[in-house]
Amino acid sequence: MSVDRTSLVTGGGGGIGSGIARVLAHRGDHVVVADLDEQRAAEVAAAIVADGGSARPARLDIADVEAAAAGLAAIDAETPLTTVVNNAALATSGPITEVRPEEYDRVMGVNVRGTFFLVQAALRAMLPRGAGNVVNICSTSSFTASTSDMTVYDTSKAAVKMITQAAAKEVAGSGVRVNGVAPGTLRTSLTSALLDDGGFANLEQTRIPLGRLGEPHEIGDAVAYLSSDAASYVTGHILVVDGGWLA
Amino acid sequence: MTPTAPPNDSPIRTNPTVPHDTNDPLTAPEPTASGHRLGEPIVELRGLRKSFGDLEVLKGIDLTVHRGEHVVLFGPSGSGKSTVLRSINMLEEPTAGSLRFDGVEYGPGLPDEAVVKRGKAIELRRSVGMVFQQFNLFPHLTALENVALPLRSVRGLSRAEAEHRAAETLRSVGMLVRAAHYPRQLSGGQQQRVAIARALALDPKVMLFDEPTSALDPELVGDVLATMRELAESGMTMVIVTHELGFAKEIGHMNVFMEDGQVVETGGAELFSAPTSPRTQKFLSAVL
Repeated sequence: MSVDRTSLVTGGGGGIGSGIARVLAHRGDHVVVADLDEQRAAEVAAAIVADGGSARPARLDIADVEAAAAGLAAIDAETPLTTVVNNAALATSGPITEVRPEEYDRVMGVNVRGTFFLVQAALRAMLPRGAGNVVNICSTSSFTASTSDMTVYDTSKAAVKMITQAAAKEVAGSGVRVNGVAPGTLRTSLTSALLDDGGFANLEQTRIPLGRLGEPHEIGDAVAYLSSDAASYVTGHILVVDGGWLA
Repeated sequence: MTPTAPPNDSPIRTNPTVPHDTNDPLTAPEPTASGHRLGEPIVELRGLRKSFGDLEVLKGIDLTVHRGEHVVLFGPSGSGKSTVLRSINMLEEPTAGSLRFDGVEYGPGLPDEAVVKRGKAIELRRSVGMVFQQFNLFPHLTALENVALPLRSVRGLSRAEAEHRAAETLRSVGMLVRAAHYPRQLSGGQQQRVAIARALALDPKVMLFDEPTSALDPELVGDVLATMRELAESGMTMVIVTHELGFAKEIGHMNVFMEDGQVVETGGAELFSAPTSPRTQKFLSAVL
Protein backbone atom coordinates (compact mmCIF):
# COMPACT_ATOMS: atom_id res chain seq x y z
CA MET A 1 0.00 0.00 0.00
CA SER A 2 1.45 3.34 -0.95
CA VAL A 3 -0.11 6.13 1.04
CA ASP A 4 1.59 9.07 2.67
CA ARG A 5 -0.95 9.46 5.41
CA THR A 6 -2.80 6.97 7.56
CA SER A 7 -5.54 8.05 9.92
CA LEU A 8 -7.18 6.07 12.65
CA VAL A 9 -10.69 7.08 13.68
CA THR A 10 -12.16 5.51 16.80
CA GLY A 11 -15.90 5.16 16.91
CA GLY A 12 -15.53 5.23 13.13
CA GLY A 13 -18.67 3.19 12.65
CA GLY A 14 -20.84 5.85 14.28
CA GLY A 15 -22.37 9.06 13.05
CA ILE A 16 -19.63 11.61 13.62
CA GLY A 17 -16.90 8.99 13.26
CA SER A 18 -18.01 7.86 9.83
CA GLY A 19 -18.29 11.50 8.76
CA ILE A 20 -14.72 12.12 9.89
CA ALA A 21 -13.48 8.94 8.23
CA ARG A 22 -15.08 9.90 4.92
CA VAL A 23 -13.57 13.40 4.90
CA LEU A 24 -10.10 12.10 5.76
CA ALA A 25 -10.39 9.43 3.06
CA HIS A 26 -11.52 12.07 0.60
CA ARG A 27 -8.36 14.10 1.19
CA GLY A 28 -6.32 11.00 0.39
CA ASP A 29 -5.64 9.38 3.74
CA HIS A 30 -5.75 5.65 4.19
CA VAL A 31 -8.30 5.44 6.99
CA VAL A 32 -8.46 2.77 9.64
CA VAL A 33 -12.10 2.75 10.70
CA ALA A 34 -11.98 1.49 14.27
CA ASP A 35 -15.06 0.63 16.23
CA LEU A 36 -16.24 -1.60 19.03
CA ASP A 37 -18.78 -2.88 16.50
CA GLU A 38 -16.63 -4.44 13.80
CA GLN A 39 -19.59 -4.87 11.47
CA ARG A 40 -20.32 -1.16 11.45
CA ALA A 41 -16.64 -0.41 10.97
CA ALA A 42 -16.58 -2.78 8.00
CA GLU A 43 -19.61 -1.13 6.46
CA VAL A 44 -18.09 2.35 6.73
CA ALA A 45 -14.74 1.13 5.36
CA ALA A 46 -16.51 -0.63 2.48
CA ALA A 47 -18.46 2.52 1.67
CA ILE A 48 -15.23 4.54 1.59
CA VAL A 49 -13.57 2.02 -0.71
CA ALA A 50 -16.68 1.96 -2.94
CA ASP A 51 -16.32 5.71 -3.13
CA GLY A 52 -12.76 5.34 -4.43
CA GLY A 53 -11.02 5.91 -1.11
CA SER A 54 -8.68 3.73 0.90
CA ALA A 55 -9.89 2.29 4.20
CA ARG A 56 -9.93 -0.79 6.33
CA PRO A 57 -11.93 -1.72 9.42
CA ALA A 58 -10.51 -2.61 12.84
CA ARG A 59 -12.16 -3.69 16.05
CA LEU A 60 -11.09 -1.48 18.94
CA ASP A 61 -12.63 -1.35 22.39
CA ILE A 62 -11.10 1.73 23.96
CA ALA A 63 -12.55 0.81 27.35
CA ASP A 64 -10.06 -2.07 27.38
CA VAL A 65 -7.11 0.31 27.48
CA GLU A 66 -4.34 -2.26 27.22
CA ALA A 67 -5.89 -4.12 24.31
CA ALA A 68 -6.69 -0.84 22.57
CA ALA A 69 -3.10 0.39 22.99
CA ALA A 70 -1.79 -2.90 21.65
CA GLY A 71 -4.25 -2.67 18.76
CA LEU A 72 -3.08 0.84 17.91
CA ALA A 73 0.57 -0.23 18.12
CA ALA A 74 -0.10 -3.14 15.77
CA ILE A 75 -1.86 -0.90 13.26
CA ASP A 76 0.97 1.64 13.53
CA ALA A 77 3.59 -1.03 12.92
CA GLU A 78 1.84 -1.95 9.69
CA THR A 79 1.01 1.54 8.50
CA PRO A 80 2.57 4.35 10.56
CA LEU A 81 -0.23 6.56 11.81
CA THR A 82 -0.08 10.22 10.90
CA THR A 83 -3.41 11.12 12.50
CA VAL A 84 -5.33 9.55 15.37
CA VAL A 85 -8.86 10.80 15.95
CA ASN A 86 -10.26 9.95 19.37
CA ASN A 87 -13.93 10.05 18.65
CA ALA A 88 -15.36 7.01 20.43
CA ALA A 89 -17.57 8.05 23.32
CA LEU A 90 -20.64 7.15 25.26
CA ALA A 91 -23.47 9.49 26.14
CA THR A 92 -25.82 9.09 29.01
CA SER A 93 -28.47 11.33 30.39
CA GLY A 94 -30.64 11.38 33.44
CA PRO A 95 -31.07 13.38 36.62
CA ILE A 96 -27.92 13.67 38.71
CA THR A 97 -29.87 12.31 41.64
CA GLU A 98 -30.31 9.02 39.78
CA VAL A 99 -26.82 8.41 38.36
CA ARG A 100 -25.58 4.98 39.42
CA PRO A 101 -21.87 4.45 40.11
CA GLU A 102 -21.59 1.78 37.42
CA GLU A 103 -23.12 4.11 34.85
CA TYR A 104 -20.70 6.85 35.87
CA ASP A 105 -17.77 4.42 35.62
CA ARG A 106 -18.88 3.15 32.22
CA VAL A 107 -19.06 6.64 30.70
CA MET A 108 -15.87 7.90 32.32
CA GLY A 109 -14.16 4.61 31.49
CA VAL A 110 -14.71 5.15 27.78
CA ASN A 111 -14.76 8.92 27.42
CA VAL A 112 -11.95 9.84 29.79
CA ARG A 113 -9.88 6.78 30.66
CA GLY A 114 -10.25 5.25 27.21
CA THR A 115 -9.41 8.50 25.46
CA PHE A 116 -6.49 9.25 27.75
CA PHE A 117 -4.79 5.93 27.16
CA LEU A 118 -5.39 5.98 23.44
CA VAL A 119 -3.81 9.43 23.34
CA GLN A 120 -0.91 7.91 25.24
CA ALA A 121 -0.66 5.02 22.78
CA ALA A 122 -0.80 7.44 19.84
CA LEU A 123 1.96 9.59 21.35
CA ARG A 124 4.13 6.56 22.03
CA ALA A 125 3.81 5.69 18.36
CA MET A 126 4.27 9.20 16.99
CA LEU A 127 6.93 10.74 19.26
CA PRO A 128 9.77 8.55 17.99
CA ARG A 129 9.01 9.84 14.49
CA GLY A 130 8.62 13.41 15.71
CA ALA A 131 5.50 13.84 13.61
CA GLY A 132 1.79 13.24 13.84
CA ASN A 133 -1.53 14.65 14.87
CA VAL A 134 -3.94 13.66 17.58
CA VAL A 135 -7.43 15.11 17.39
CA ASN A 136 -9.79 14.47 20.27
CA ILE A 137 -13.48 14.93 19.75
CA CYS A 138 -14.67 17.06 22.63
CA SER A 139 -18.08 18.70 22.82
CA THR A 140 -19.73 21.99 23.53
CA SER A 141 -20.18 20.22 26.87
CA SER A 142 -16.44 20.65 27.33
CA PHE A 143 -17.20 24.34 27.83
CA THR A 144 -20.73 24.61 29.15
CA ALA A 145 -23.21 22.26 30.78
CA SER A 146 -25.83 20.59 28.63
CA THR A 147 -29.43 21.64 28.92
CA SER A 148 -30.59 18.08 29.32
CA ASP A 149 -29.41 16.35 32.49
CA MET A 150 -26.07 15.10 31.19
CA THR A 151 -23.80 15.76 34.16
CA VAL A 152 -21.67 12.66 33.70
CA TYR A 153 -21.25 13.19 29.97
CA ASP A 154 -20.49 16.89 30.44
CA THR A 155 -17.93 16.06 33.11
CA SER A 156 -16.26 13.54 30.83
CA LYS A 157 -16.08 15.92 27.89
CA ALA A 158 -14.60 18.67 30.05
CA ALA A 159 -11.91 16.17 30.95
CA VAL A 160 -11.26 15.35 27.29
CA LYS A 161 -10.70 19.05 26.66
CA MET A 162 -8.06 19.15 29.38
CA ILE A 163 -6.43 15.91 28.22
CA THR A 164 -6.10 17.62 24.84
CA GLN A 165 -4.63 20.84 26.19
CA ALA A 166 -2.29 19.26 28.72
CA ALA A 167 -1.00 16.65 26.28
CA ALA A 168 -0.49 19.32 23.62
CA LYS A 169 1.65 21.38 25.97
CA GLU A 170 3.61 18.42 27.21
CA VAL A 171 4.62 17.27 23.74
CA ALA A 172 4.84 20.71 22.16
CA GLY A 173 8.04 20.95 20.20
CA SER A 174 8.16 17.23 19.53
CA GLY A 175 6.57 17.63 16.11
CA VAL A 176 3.34 16.02 17.33
CA ARG A 177 0.33 18.30 17.68
CA VAL A 178 -2.73 17.58 19.82
CA ASN A 179 -5.99 19.40 19.18
CA GLY A 180 -9.69 18.96 19.70
CA VAL A 181 -12.94 19.56 17.91
CA ALA A 182 -16.04 20.44 19.90
CA PRO A 183 -19.18 19.61 17.96
CA GLY A 184 -22.50 21.14 18.85
CA THR A 185 -25.67 19.20 18.30
CA LEU A 186 -25.62 16.91 15.30
CA ARG A 187 -28.05 14.29 14.14
CA THR A 188 -26.29 11.03 15.00
CA SER A 189 -27.14 7.74 16.67
CA LEU A 190 -26.19 9.30 20.01
CA THR A 191 -28.67 12.13 19.63
CA SER A 192 -31.36 10.56 17.46
CA ALA A 193 -33.46 9.48 20.41
CA LEU A 194 -33.48 13.01 21.74
CA LEU A 195 -34.06 14.52 18.33
CA ASP A 196 -36.94 12.14 17.60
CA ASP A 197 -38.72 14.24 20.15
CA GLY A 198 -39.82 16.96 17.75
CA GLY A 199 -40.03 19.55 20.50
CA PHE A 200 -36.39 19.03 21.47
CA ALA A 201 -35.25 19.17 17.85
CA ASN A 202 -37.09 22.44 17.31
CA LEU A 203 -35.77 23.86 20.55
CA GLU A 204 -32.20 22.97 19.57
CA GLN A 205 -32.58 24.48 16.14
CA THR A 206 -34.00 27.72 17.43
CA ARG A 207 -31.11 28.02 19.87
CA ILE A 208 -28.48 27.53 17.17
CA PRO A 209 -27.60 30.82 15.47
CA LEU A 210 -27.02 29.12 12.12
CA GLY A 211 -30.52 27.71 12.44
CA ARG A 212 -29.83 24.06 11.76
CA LEU A 213 -28.21 20.97 13.20
CA GLY A 214 -24.66 20.19 12.21
CA GLU A 215 -23.61 17.46 9.80
CA PRO A 216 -20.92 14.86 10.56
CA HIS A 217 -18.82 15.90 7.56
CA GLU A 218 -18.54 19.38 9.08
CA ILE A 219 -16.79 17.81 12.05
CA GLY A 220 -14.65 15.89 9.59
CA ASP A 221 -13.64 19.12 7.89
CA ALA A 222 -12.49 20.55 11.21
CA VAL A 223 -10.50 17.39 11.96
CA ALA A 224 -8.98 17.54 8.48
CA TYR A 225 -7.88 21.12 9.04
CA LEU A 226 -6.34 20.49 12.46
CA SER A 227 -4.50 17.42 11.21
CA SER A 228 -3.15 19.20 8.14
CA ASP A 229 -0.06 21.33 7.61
CA ALA A 230 -2.43 24.28 7.29
CA ALA A 231 -2.69 24.08 11.09
CA SER A 232 1.07 23.78 11.65
CA TYR A 233 1.01 26.54 14.30
CA VAL A 234 -2.06 25.19 16.08
CA THR A 235 -1.78 22.90 19.08
CA GLY A 236 -3.79 22.55 22.26
CA HIS A 237 -6.73 24.21 20.53
CA ILE A 238 -10.34 23.10 20.72
CA LEU A 239 -12.09 24.12 17.53
CA VAL A 240 -15.77 24.64 18.28
CA VAL A 241 -18.05 23.57 15.42
CA ASP A 242 -21.51 24.31 16.73
CA GLY A 243 -23.29 26.70 14.39
CA GLY A 244 -22.56 29.54 16.78
CA TRP A 245 -24.32 27.94 19.74
CA LEU A 246 -21.57 28.82 22.25
CA ALA A 247 -21.10 32.31 20.92
CA MET B 1 19.82 -8.85 42.59
CA THR B 2 17.41 -9.12 39.74
CA PRO B 3 15.77 -5.88 38.69
CA THR B 4 12.46 -5.48 40.45
CA ALA B 5 10.99 -3.72 37.45
CA PRO B 6 12.34 -3.29 33.93
CA PRO B 7 13.29 0.32 33.21
CA ASN B 8 10.66 0.41 30.46
CA ASP B 9 7.89 0.12 32.98
CA SER B 10 9.16 2.69 35.40
CA PRO B 11 8.39 6.24 34.42
CA ILE B 12 10.92 8.52 35.99
CA ARG B 13 8.78 11.03 37.67
CA THR B 14 6.48 8.67 39.58
CA ASN B 15 9.65 7.71 41.42
CA PRO B 16 8.37 4.56 43.13
CA THR B 17 10.44 3.34 46.01
CA VAL B 18 10.91 -0.29 45.19
CA PRO B 19 12.27 -2.21 48.13
CA HIS B 20 15.11 -4.56 47.40
CA ASP B 21 14.27 -8.23 47.48
CA THR B 22 15.51 -8.87 50.95
CA ASN B 23 12.57 -10.62 52.52
CA ASP B 24 13.76 -14.19 52.27
CA PRO B 25 16.32 -14.76 55.03
CA LEU B 26 17.24 -18.16 53.60
CA THR B 27 18.31 -16.97 50.17
CA ALA B 28 19.30 -13.38 50.74
CA PRO B 29 23.05 -12.94 51.14
CA GLU B 30 24.51 -11.26 54.17
CA PRO B 31 23.86 -7.55 54.48
CA THR B 32 26.72 -5.13 54.16
CA ALA B 33 27.61 -2.53 56.72
CA SER B 34 25.07 -0.26 55.06
CA GLY B 35 22.34 -2.88 55.43
CA HIS B 36 22.18 -3.79 51.74
CA ARG B 37 22.06 -7.50 50.95
CA LEU B 38 24.46 -8.41 48.22
CA GLY B 39 23.97 -10.45 45.09
CA GLU B 40 26.72 -12.55 43.58
CA PRO B 41 29.98 -10.78 42.75
CA ILE B 42 29.98 -9.55 39.15
CA VAL B 43 33.06 -7.30 39.03
CA GLU B 44 36.16 -8.41 40.93
CA LEU B 45 39.37 -6.40 40.84
CA ARG B 46 42.38 -7.95 42.60
CA GLY B 47 45.72 -6.23 42.83
CA LEU B 48 44.87 -4.16 39.77
CA ARG B 49 47.70 -1.96 38.57
CA LYS B 50 47.95 0.47 35.72
CA SER B 51 50.95 2.49 34.56
CA PHE B 52 51.28 5.10 31.88
CA GLY B 53 54.99 4.99 31.12
CA ASP B 54 56.76 5.59 34.41
CA LEU B 55 53.65 6.91 36.09
CA GLU B 56 51.73 4.32 38.08
CA VAL B 57 48.15 5.58 38.43
CA LEU B 58 46.65 2.47 39.99
CA LYS B 59 48.75 0.90 42.69
CA GLY B 60 46.97 -2.35 43.43
CA ILE B 61 43.21 -1.97 43.60
CA ASP B 62 40.99 -4.55 45.28
CA LEU B 63 37.32 -4.01 44.70
CA THR B 64 34.28 -6.27 44.44
CA VAL B 65 30.99 -5.17 42.95
CA HIS B 66 27.99 -7.42 43.52
CA ARG B 67 24.87 -7.69 41.37
CA GLY B 68 22.44 -4.94 42.20
CA GLU B 69 25.06 -3.01 44.14
CA HIS B 70 25.68 0.71 43.72
CA VAL B 71 29.34 1.54 44.20
CA VAL B 72 30.49 5.14 44.31
CA LEU B 73 34.13 6.07 43.70
CA PHE B 74 35.17 9.48 44.95
CA GLY B 75 38.33 11.32 45.75
CA PRO B 76 40.54 14.14 44.51
CA SER B 77 41.39 14.68 40.86
CA GLY B 78 44.13 12.34 39.72
CA SER B 79 43.33 9.76 42.40
CA GLY B 80 42.73 7.09 39.75
CA LYS B 81 38.97 6.67 40.16
CA SER B 82 38.18 7.20 36.48
CA THR B 83 40.97 4.80 35.56
CA VAL B 84 39.40 2.15 37.79
CA LEU B 85 36.10 2.73 36.04
CA ARG B 86 37.66 2.58 32.61
CA SER B 87 39.47 -0.61 33.55
CA ILE B 88 36.20 -2.35 34.35
CA ASN B 89 35.29 -2.36 30.66
CA MET B 90 38.91 -2.51 29.47
CA LEU B 91 38.99 0.98 28.02
CA GLU B 92 42.22 0.97 30.00
CA GLU B 93 44.11 -2.30 29.90
CA PRO B 94 45.50 -3.18 33.33
CA THR B 95 49.26 -3.49 33.59
CA ALA B 96 48.97 -6.16 36.26
CA GLY B 97 46.37 -7.83 38.41
CA SER B 98 43.08 -9.54 37.92
CA LEU B 99 39.88 -8.16 36.42
CA ARG B 100 37.04 -10.64 36.54
CA PHE B 101 33.65 -9.87 35.13
CA ASP B 102 30.85 -12.36 35.66
CA GLY B 103 33.41 -15.06 36.43
CA VAL B 104 35.57 -14.49 33.35
CA GLU B 105 39.13 -13.15 33.61
CA TYR B 106 39.98 -10.20 31.38
CA GLY B 107 43.10 -8.80 33.01
CA PRO B 108 46.63 -10.20 33.17
CA GLY B 109 45.49 -12.30 36.16
CA LEU B 110 47.11 -12.91 39.51
CA PRO B 111 50.59 -14.43 39.60
CA ASP B 112 49.57 -17.37 41.77
CA GLU B 113 46.38 -18.26 39.89
CA ALA B 114 46.08 -20.13 36.61
CA VAL B 115 43.58 -18.38 34.39
CA VAL B 116 41.07 -20.95 33.26
CA LYS B 117 38.86 -18.75 31.14
CA ARG B 118 39.88 -15.53 29.42
CA GLY B 119 37.46 -13.25 27.68
CA LYS B 120 37.82 -10.69 24.94
CA ALA B 121 37.47 -7.01 25.68
CA ILE B 122 34.81 -6.59 23.00
CA GLU B 123 32.60 -9.19 24.68
CA LEU B 124 33.11 -7.53 28.04
CA ARG B 125 32.05 -4.16 26.64
CA ARG B 126 28.81 -5.65 25.36
CA SER B 127 27.86 -6.39 28.96
CA VAL B 128 28.94 -3.06 30.40
CA GLY B 129 27.22 0.22 29.65
CA MET B 130 29.18 3.41 30.11
CA VAL B 131 28.13 7.02 30.47
CA PHE B 132 30.77 9.71 30.11
CA GLN B 133 31.14 13.26 31.32
CA GLN B 134 30.83 14.38 27.71
CA PHE B 135 27.76 12.82 26.18
CA ASN B 136 29.39 11.78 22.89
CA LEU B 137 26.14 11.77 20.92
CA PHE B 138 26.34 11.87 17.14
CA PRO B 139 25.31 15.42 16.21
CA HIS B 140 23.82 14.40 12.85
CA LEU B 141 21.50 11.79 14.36
CA THR B 142 18.30 12.32 16.32
CA ALA B 143 18.01 11.12 19.90
CA LEU B 144 16.14 8.05 18.66
CA GLU B 145 18.76 7.31 16.03
CA ASN B 146 21.59 7.76 18.54
CA VAL B 147 20.02 5.11 20.76
CA ALA B 148 19.04 2.83 17.87
CA LEU B 149 22.44 2.88 16.14
CA PRO B 150 24.31 0.53 18.52
CA LEU B 151 21.28 -1.74 18.65
CA ARG B 152 21.72 -2.24 14.93
CA SER B 153 25.52 -2.30 14.78
CA VAL B 154 26.22 -4.21 18.01
CA ARG B 155 23.08 -6.24 18.53
CA GLY B 156 22.23 -6.71 14.86
CA LEU B 157 18.60 -5.70 15.21
CA SER B 158 16.60 -4.58 12.19
CA ARG B 159 15.96 -0.88 11.82
CA ALA B 160 12.34 -1.29 12.97
CA GLU B 161 13.28 -3.45 15.96
CA ALA B 162 16.09 -1.10 16.93
CA GLU B 163 13.90 1.98 16.74
CA HIS B 164 11.14 0.29 18.74
CA ARG B 165 13.62 -0.68 21.43
CA ALA B 166 15.19 2.78 21.33
CA ALA B 167 11.78 4.41 21.79
CA GLU B 168 11.03 2.18 24.76
CA THR B 169 14.35 3.04 26.38
CA LEU B 170 13.93 6.77 25.75
CA ARG B 171 10.55 6.44 27.43
CA SER B 172 12.21 4.91 30.47
CA VAL B 173 14.41 7.98 30.91
CA GLY B 174 11.55 10.39 30.19
CA MET B 175 12.97 11.45 26.83
CA LEU B 176 10.51 9.97 24.33
CA VAL B 177 9.02 13.39 23.81
CA ARG B 178 12.41 14.56 22.47
CA ALA B 179 13.06 11.44 20.40
CA ALA B 180 13.11 13.29 17.09
CA HIS B 181 15.37 16.07 18.33
CA TYR B 182 19.00 16.45 17.37
CA PRO B 183 21.58 16.85 20.15
CA ARG B 184 21.93 20.59 19.44
CA GLN B 185 18.21 20.95 20.20
CA LEU B 186 18.61 19.33 23.62
CA SER B 187 19.94 20.70 26.89
CA GLY B 188 23.03 19.09 28.37
CA GLY B 189 20.92 17.20 30.88
CA GLN B 190 18.65 15.91 28.14
CA GLN B 191 21.65 14.85 26.08
CA GLN B 192 23.04 12.97 29.05
CA ARG B 193 19.72 11.19 29.55
CA VAL B 194 19.82 10.16 25.89
CA ALA B 195 23.37 8.91 26.45
CA ILE B 196 22.12 6.90 29.44
CA ALA B 197 19.34 5.48 27.26
CA ARG B 198 21.88 4.56 24.58
CA ALA B 199 23.82 2.52 27.13
CA LEU B 200 20.71 1.03 28.73
CA ALA B 201 19.17 -0.08 25.46
CA LEU B 202 21.91 -2.67 25.09
CA ASP B 203 20.70 -4.32 28.29
CA PRO B 204 24.00 -4.14 30.17
CA LYS B 205 24.74 -6.16 33.28
CA VAL B 206 26.60 -3.23 34.83
CA MET B 207 26.40 0.50 34.18
CA LEU B 208 29.47 2.69 34.65
CA PHE B 209 29.11 6.44 35.13
CA ASP B 210 32.18 8.64 34.79
CA GLU B 211 31.31 12.01 36.34
CA PRO B 212 27.99 12.09 34.47
CA THR B 213 26.93 15.49 35.81
CA SER B 214 30.27 17.33 35.84
CA ALA B 215 29.74 18.99 32.46
CA LEU B 216 26.23 20.18 33.28
CA ASP B 217 24.95 23.52 34.44
CA PRO B 218 23.82 23.16 38.07
CA GLU B 219 20.14 23.46 37.25
CA LEU B 220 20.36 20.51 34.85
CA VAL B 221 22.03 18.12 37.27
CA GLY B 222 18.78 17.17 39.02
CA ASP B 223 17.12 15.49 36.03
CA VAL B 224 20.15 13.34 35.34
CA LEU B 225 20.43 12.33 38.99
CA ALA B 226 16.70 11.53 39.00
CA THR B 227 17.22 9.25 36.02
CA MET B 228 20.15 7.55 37.76
CA ARG B 229 18.14 7.24 40.97
CA GLU B 230 15.32 5.53 39.08
CA LEU B 231 17.81 3.20 37.46
CA ALA B 232 19.29 2.40 40.86
CA GLU B 233 15.84 1.63 42.22
CA SER B 234 15.22 -0.75 39.34
CA GLY B 235 18.06 -2.89 40.69
CA MET B 236 20.73 -2.03 38.11
CA THR B 237 24.32 -2.67 39.14
CA MET B 238 26.08 0.68 39.00
CA VAL B 239 29.60 1.96 39.51
CA ILE B 240 29.69 5.73 39.66
CA VAL B 241 32.51 8.24 39.74
CA THR B 242 31.00 11.47 40.99
CA HIS B 243 31.58 14.62 42.96
CA GLU B 244 27.87 14.67 43.92
CA LEU B 245 28.47 13.31 47.38
CA GLY B 246 24.92 14.00 48.55
CA PHE B 247 23.71 11.72 45.80
CA ALA B 248 26.41 9.19 46.65
CA LYS B 249 25.28 9.14 50.26
CA GLU B 250 21.72 8.53 49.12
CA ILE B 251 22.25 5.63 46.72
CA GLY B 252 25.72 4.25 47.38
CA HIS B 253 25.69 0.83 49.02
CA MET B 254 29.45 1.02 49.07
CA ASN B 255 31.39 4.25 48.83
CA VAL B 256 35.05 4.08 47.98
CA PHE B 257 37.44 6.91 48.79
CA MET B 258 40.49 6.85 46.54
CA GLU B 259 43.68 8.85 46.68
CA ASP B 260 46.97 8.51 44.85
CA GLY B 261 45.97 5.36 42.95
CA GLN B 262 44.85 3.49 46.03
CA VAL B 263 41.65 2.70 47.88
CA VAL B 264 41.93 4.51 51.17
CA GLU B 265 38.64 3.60 52.79
CA THR B 266 35.27 2.05 51.94
CA GLY B 267 31.92 2.13 53.69
CA GLY B 268 28.21 2.81 53.48
CA ALA B 269 26.59 6.17 54.03
CA GLU B 270 28.39 6.43 57.38
CA LEU B 271 31.63 6.93 55.50
CA PHE B 272 30.57 10.50 54.84
CA SER B 273 29.60 11.28 58.42
CA ALA B 274 32.25 9.31 60.29
CA PRO B 275 35.27 8.56 58.12
CA THR B 276 38.01 6.71 59.96
CA SER B 277 41.00 7.56 57.80
CA PRO B 278 42.56 10.98 58.35
CA ARG B 279 42.95 11.26 54.53
CA THR B 280 39.22 10.73 54.00
CA GLN B 281 38.46 13.14 56.81
CA LYS B 282 40.68 15.77 55.25
CA PHE B 283 39.11 15.36 51.80
CA LEU B 284 35.54 15.43 53.09
CA SER B 285 36.14 18.43 55.31
CA ALA B 286 37.40 20.27 52.26
CA VAL B 287 34.45 19.42 49.98
CA LEU B 288 31.41 19.01 52.25
